[in-house]
Amino acid sequence: MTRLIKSDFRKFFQDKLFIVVCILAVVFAVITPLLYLMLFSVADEVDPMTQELLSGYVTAKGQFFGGFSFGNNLGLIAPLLIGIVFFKDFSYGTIRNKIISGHSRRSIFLSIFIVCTTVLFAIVLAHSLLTLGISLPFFDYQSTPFAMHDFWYLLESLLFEFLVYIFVGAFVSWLCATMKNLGMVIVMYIAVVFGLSMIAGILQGITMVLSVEPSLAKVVDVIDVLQRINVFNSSATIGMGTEYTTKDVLYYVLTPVLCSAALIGHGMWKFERKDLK
Amino acid sequence: MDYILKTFGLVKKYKKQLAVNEADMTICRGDIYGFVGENGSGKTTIIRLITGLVFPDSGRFELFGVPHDSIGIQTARRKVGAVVESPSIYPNMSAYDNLKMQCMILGIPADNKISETLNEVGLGYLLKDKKQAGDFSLGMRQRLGIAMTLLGDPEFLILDEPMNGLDPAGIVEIRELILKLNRERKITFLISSHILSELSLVATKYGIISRGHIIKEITAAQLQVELAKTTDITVEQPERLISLFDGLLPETSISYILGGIRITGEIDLNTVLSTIIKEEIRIISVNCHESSFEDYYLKTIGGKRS
Repeated sequence: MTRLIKSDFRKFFQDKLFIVVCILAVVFAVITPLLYLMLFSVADEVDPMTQELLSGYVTAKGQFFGGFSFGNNLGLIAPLLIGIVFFKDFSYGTIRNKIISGHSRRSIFLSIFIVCTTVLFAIVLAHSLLTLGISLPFFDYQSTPFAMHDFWYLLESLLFEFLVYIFVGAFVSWLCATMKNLGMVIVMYIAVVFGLSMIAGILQGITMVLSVEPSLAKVVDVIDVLQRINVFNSSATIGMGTEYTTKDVLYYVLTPVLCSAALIGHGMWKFERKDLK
Repeated sequence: MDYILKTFGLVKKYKKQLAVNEADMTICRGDIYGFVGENGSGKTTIIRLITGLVFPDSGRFELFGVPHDSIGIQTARRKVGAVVESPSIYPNMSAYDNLKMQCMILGIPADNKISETLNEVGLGYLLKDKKQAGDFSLGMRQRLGIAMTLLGDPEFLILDEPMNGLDPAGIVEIRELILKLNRERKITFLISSHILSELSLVATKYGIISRGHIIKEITAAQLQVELAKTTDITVEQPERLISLFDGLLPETSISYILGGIRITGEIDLNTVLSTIIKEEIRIISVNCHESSFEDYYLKTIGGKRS
């Protein structure tokens, strides 16, 4: 499988879409702090109080973790573009070279998954670090002074993000191996990833509003369950400074791990039975 | 006999459509197997089955003696190279990069092998050219596809319509390449083609497929006999003819037909007729036939010549 992984990396780095993803990673990293700066200057002109209020929310840390979000910017586009690079193997028919060369379909699927997840997380991490680097001269890292505890919190949050990216990598590999055409890959990706990450954000907002009303406690409980089984739930809350409870950690780990395992298992099963043109 | 491929009652359906129907074929080591059939007859599906791109609904096959459903089939496939339908190449990469990718997939060192292989298929001038394979002509893509299959030093090479899109010079080059690889590297070939005249210049054995079923397998030598020239001579005293030509016409066979004889093989017609006339046997009719591979193919599949 090492041979397949090496060739998949080479294929990805030779594709023009890799350059496109890199350009987008830089452009979004520059644009995000710039937009906040513009917002600040407008807010300052309108009402200095609003600007002060905003500075409590808009931090370099927030922009760093925002870079991982699947609902906007690079997080939405990068997995799709990377998925297209790997789907080309099926549309060009080059996947046949791997099968005829004696590689098992299981190895081929796993290689796509490993390379897809690795490049996706590496690019998004580089983008987020660049965003952090650009925003730090203009914004505070967070509203409180940086402590050792914040460093561990950062690592912990990154680990949870990585688990979500494993799920997205598994989902993209699953799409490549099971869908018949690129159009279906794009539609399914947007529907699931964008849809679920939006739902995660909306449910979070609804919970915040409803939790102030004690009579709606049961509704909040139901929403809480829905949130926890949503694989993008962690991505919507990670890095916001909220301390993780043991229950949070359990769901942040279990949900993406179980969903990824299910997708990888089903993807391999399906791919091992798929007729290829 | 050393078999490379043996299929036993292979069946493949696409939804409800039967693409391959109880196909039995045998390819021996050293064969250049010409695979002939009309469009949609199941040639490519059989090739896909052999290469593991699709799975049979029933039946089985053995590749290098290894059953298709055993673990060892992946190792057996490493001895196979194939160009199925169209060459599997990355259009956004140069010829060199395409071959480099294939070397990585095969796990073999690239450097000398790539230049050797490009030279072998007549694309040596592309070694340092950065032109993308997507901009190649169809013929260049075919050759690049063949080059990719040769990288793994295959023992069995499957080429699906390799002459498609090639100019006359390209066809000759590919034909010579096939013959050279068969002769020098002892590579066994399975070649599907519609160009029967071209196939007949290389094939040592033929498989004729119609509606998913292999209706005839015949060696080139047997086919030569089947296609030999026949001369039918009807006379007034046919019984005298056999004894007349007994031992006179070597490398031919003589058989009775109604009112005369049929001589199969090349003869000097003038000599034969003057011999009959000298014996004062009255000739009623003389009919000469020479059938082509196309005639034979059409007769075999039960079709008509247009």
